[in-house]
Amino acid sequence: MKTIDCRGQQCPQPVIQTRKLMLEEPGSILEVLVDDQACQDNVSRLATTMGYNIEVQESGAATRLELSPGKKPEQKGSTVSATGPRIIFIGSDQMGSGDPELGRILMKNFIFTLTEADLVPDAIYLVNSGVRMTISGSEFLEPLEELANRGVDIASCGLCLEFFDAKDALAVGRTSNMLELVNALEGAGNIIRL
Amino acid sequence: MAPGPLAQVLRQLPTVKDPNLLTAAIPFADAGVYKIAEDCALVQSVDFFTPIVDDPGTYGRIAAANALSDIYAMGGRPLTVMNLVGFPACLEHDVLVEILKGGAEKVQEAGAVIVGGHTVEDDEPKYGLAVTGLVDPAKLVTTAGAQPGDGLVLTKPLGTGILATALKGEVIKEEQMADAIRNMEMLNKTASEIMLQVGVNACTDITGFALLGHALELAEASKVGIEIDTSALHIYPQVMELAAIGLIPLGSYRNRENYLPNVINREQLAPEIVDILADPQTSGGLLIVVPAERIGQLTRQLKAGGCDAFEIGRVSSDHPGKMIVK
Repeated sequence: MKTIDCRGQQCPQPVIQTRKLMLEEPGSILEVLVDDQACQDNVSRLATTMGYNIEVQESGAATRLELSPGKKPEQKGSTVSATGPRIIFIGSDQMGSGDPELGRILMKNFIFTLTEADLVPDAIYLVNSGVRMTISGSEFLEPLEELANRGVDIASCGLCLEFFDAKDALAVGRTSNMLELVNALEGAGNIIRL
Repeated sequence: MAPGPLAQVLRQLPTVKDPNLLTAAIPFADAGVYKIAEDCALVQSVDFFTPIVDDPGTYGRIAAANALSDIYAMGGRPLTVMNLVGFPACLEHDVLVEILKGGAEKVQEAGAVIVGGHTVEDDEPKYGLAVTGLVDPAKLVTTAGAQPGDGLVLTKPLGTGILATALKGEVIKEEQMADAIRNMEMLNKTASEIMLQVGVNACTDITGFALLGHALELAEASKVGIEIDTSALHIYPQVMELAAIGLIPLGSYRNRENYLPNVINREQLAPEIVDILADPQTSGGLLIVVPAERIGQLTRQLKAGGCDAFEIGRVSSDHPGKMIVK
């Protein structure tokens, strides 16, 4: 166990030191000594975000934090199975926010690159303006068709298609609904959100 | 200094009674306004700090923009400045040349003149300006004029304190905070000119005491409540992620200690939102209080002028002197 003595130090020094050691020795259990509530909070936040398990021991003026890697704190609500389907969730026909034209080009690039990947996702769920990608006239039809042929389930939100007045224009994949989307996301092993 | 101890110190000083001191009624004013003629008052302010970025020229530009900001917040026009420098004997002089050149660039952009300065030897570089400006007392904008119903518009995103902390901790590189650096270097000149054209009720600039502290000062001076819609805040890229790993500057804790008790509904705030509200800003934006019917005009003109402009809340007659978050 590596010990970092942060007693007498002020924020953000303890966080910076702890993070540095986490990156240098990703597998090690770390012991951090702090004597300041703000520092304790911040080291705990770092540990939680980095997926460490935290044990707190008060001993006199100092607090001892034992950080053990890999054991993520139990998640609230439904637990996500790591072996479930791989899902790509597309909420817009653009990738990223900023310039719409650039966003469109990036999304096109992404879908084309996906067709060339060794491992394709199990399903692609499209909502909001994302459903514009699956309707006739879309520049994404060809690569999405190719993905569908490789077994990718391409599911467009029905309500969204209706909203864009394109229910009859769906040209690749199938229509889906919110209940199915919720179940699919909850049961997924891996969700990539665009 | 932290706001709490500073208040304790200033409380012990005699109050100045001079009819020409127009800011006498405003507690802990960053800048002072002194009337020298019926249509003319001096507005004076001083600010300096240690390097916030590694590049000396960038540091100089940011420090100067930050020091000039108080004048702009009051609707004034900077006239003359004096350089304030602390510099270690062991550092190369070229570094100081770059810092001062950066500062001079901004002073020139502001239309002001450097008339002199003062240096001391110091363990760590420090740089800033003492600024003198002019303002027409009739057009003076203070923190005391906010009226219930007014809108609150902020002209720069938040999060420079967290970014600077991450930079110092070598968690991010300078180019990863380019957006914030560009904004910190930006004078509040255009925003101030637009605010004067549109006609506003009050203004303050957001610096070390964070949105939290500066908005509360405004609430106190105007005897109104300040409602903040936390979902409307603009935040620099990566700030939330950095806050989530605990990269919070020390000043943030001083701010929350001192100001958070005056926030209604504070128990509903997510930790990351508290981090943003209490984050000390360097060369932050203007928090402009504008009559509701002119919010659209103000934000449109600010955006056209190259400033950020986002409405973050309203002035309320409820809870005078407090902030209300939702």
